[in-house]
Amino acid sequence: MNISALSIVRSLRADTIKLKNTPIFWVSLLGGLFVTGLLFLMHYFSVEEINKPDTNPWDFYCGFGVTFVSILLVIPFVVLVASSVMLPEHKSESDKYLYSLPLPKGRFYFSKLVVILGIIATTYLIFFIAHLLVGWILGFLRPEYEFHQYAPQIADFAWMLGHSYLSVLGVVGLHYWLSVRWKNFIIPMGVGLCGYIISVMFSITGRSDLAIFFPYSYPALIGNALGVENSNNLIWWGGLANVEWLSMACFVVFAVIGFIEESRRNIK
Amino acid sequence: MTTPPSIITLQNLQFGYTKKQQVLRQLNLEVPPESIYGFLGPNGAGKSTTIRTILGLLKPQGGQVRLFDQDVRAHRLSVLKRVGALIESPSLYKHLNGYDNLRIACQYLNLPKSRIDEVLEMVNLQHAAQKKVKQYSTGMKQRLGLAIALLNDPELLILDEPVNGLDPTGIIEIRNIIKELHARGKTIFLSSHILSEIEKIATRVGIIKEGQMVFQGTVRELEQLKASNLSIKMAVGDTSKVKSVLNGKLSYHIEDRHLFELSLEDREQIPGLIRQLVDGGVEVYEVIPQRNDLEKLFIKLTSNQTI
Repeated sequence: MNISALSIVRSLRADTIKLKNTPIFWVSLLGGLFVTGLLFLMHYFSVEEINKPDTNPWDFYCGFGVTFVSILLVIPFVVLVASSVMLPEHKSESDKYLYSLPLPKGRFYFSKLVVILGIIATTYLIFFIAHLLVGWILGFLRPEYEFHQYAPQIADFAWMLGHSYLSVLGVVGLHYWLSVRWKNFIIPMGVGLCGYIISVMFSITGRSDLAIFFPYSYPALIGNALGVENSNNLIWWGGLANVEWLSMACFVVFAVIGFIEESRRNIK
Repeated sequence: MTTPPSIITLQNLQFGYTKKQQVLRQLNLEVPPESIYGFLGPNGAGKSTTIRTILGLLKPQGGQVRLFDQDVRAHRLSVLKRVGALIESPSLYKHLNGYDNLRIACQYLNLPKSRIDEVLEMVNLQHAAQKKVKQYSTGMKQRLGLAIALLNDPELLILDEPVNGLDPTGIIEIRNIIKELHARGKTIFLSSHILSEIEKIATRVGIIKEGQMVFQGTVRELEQLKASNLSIKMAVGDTSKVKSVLNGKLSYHIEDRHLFELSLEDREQIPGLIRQLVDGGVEVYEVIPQRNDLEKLFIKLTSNQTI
């Protein structure tokens, strides 16, 4: 590994140490488990679609999981994580210390961004494992669902979650920029809440024509396209939907804007 | 023999947070190697702004900052490797213990963990290394901040108001650490608004007022400046006669019917003055030298009073 790569790894380690004794670890773990728990209860008590004869119950179960997560839960979770990770830095007013270290300013900025992406990816991974495990447990508790008669399409499930992950990157970039710029928790959370409510409104009213311009709606659009509804009103290119490309573009734009602002900023 | 280059050189430094409000105005400053440079000034004079500019945290609108004879903006990374800094209250992660705070800095600076124990010992904080920082006293936090600044064994240590908010014990502890570091050959740039503190440890002093340097030199030079400004009070029979005797030769201030104060250039003038007063019919009962200490001089230098 070259010196630069080692230096990035060290910054990541430093940022990981900072997460000790913070709720972030539990938010990440419980975020994945909470969703799985909700889905378990819903399936245990009242999902009839799962019980269609001669169909693989895993297909509906996994698709429903992706839709549920993408439409309802991923935005609040991402907003919470992106805003919380910066909190220890704001509290300790660490920028005056960090930027007086003999390291390029981008090292701190991008290291933190990678940590946020890592936490969100970890939660997706926890959800992926826990959701499959719960399906297997449901096979015992609800034998009529026939989970044990079929095998889950693990690659398809992982791929759907991958699409969901890509669709949320725009909001990650935006909220990281907000929390770095305003150096507090409230403004990014407030913006995130408004964004979430508007995305739910677009979802309820079916205004995908407007939602396409609104990054907070991208996970919902992907969730609908890939999940139970399997609607196909998105344009696909290179294996990814247009909202995923737009989401990645938003991520890059906000990450770069944030970095330029941060590197030019006077540390008062 | 050539003079070694200054560790810090500020040339005509200018900075303002807004265009109208200039905080630093053509500031010049020189910190020689292996000195303890006491950077003095009242609150709001521009001390912290100067320090932030030295460290490259603020971009000056004019002038130059040189560290180790290199331009800071052009060689930021190479010069900062030789610097340790504690800026106002230390930036500490209070939810972590002292050891983890040092571990974070070690990761950034690519230093071995063994260095943590060394700096903890230097600031006498080994016993509290596993304690969460939120349980630390102000003095302990300050010492931990100092330990972080010392991790990379810097040649130059920049400390911004390191004794601010500390109790007398804490002040003595920090002062002793600074003296010890200086004995090890470190150059220390120390800002404070408390002259007595700087007086005790600094080898050179710079006094800043409204973003401009009003005095720069050794502590001895500052004392000479003090000695050249003598002030006395005289107890006399009747001060109403003083005016006609002195006849505008010296500036004085009458306090009451029997007491007046005046400034002299040196003490050799006192016998002649007494003679002149007695000859003029003024009974002189007492000459009271006024404490014109550094504190008073500092107040004069940093206020609009004339010396």
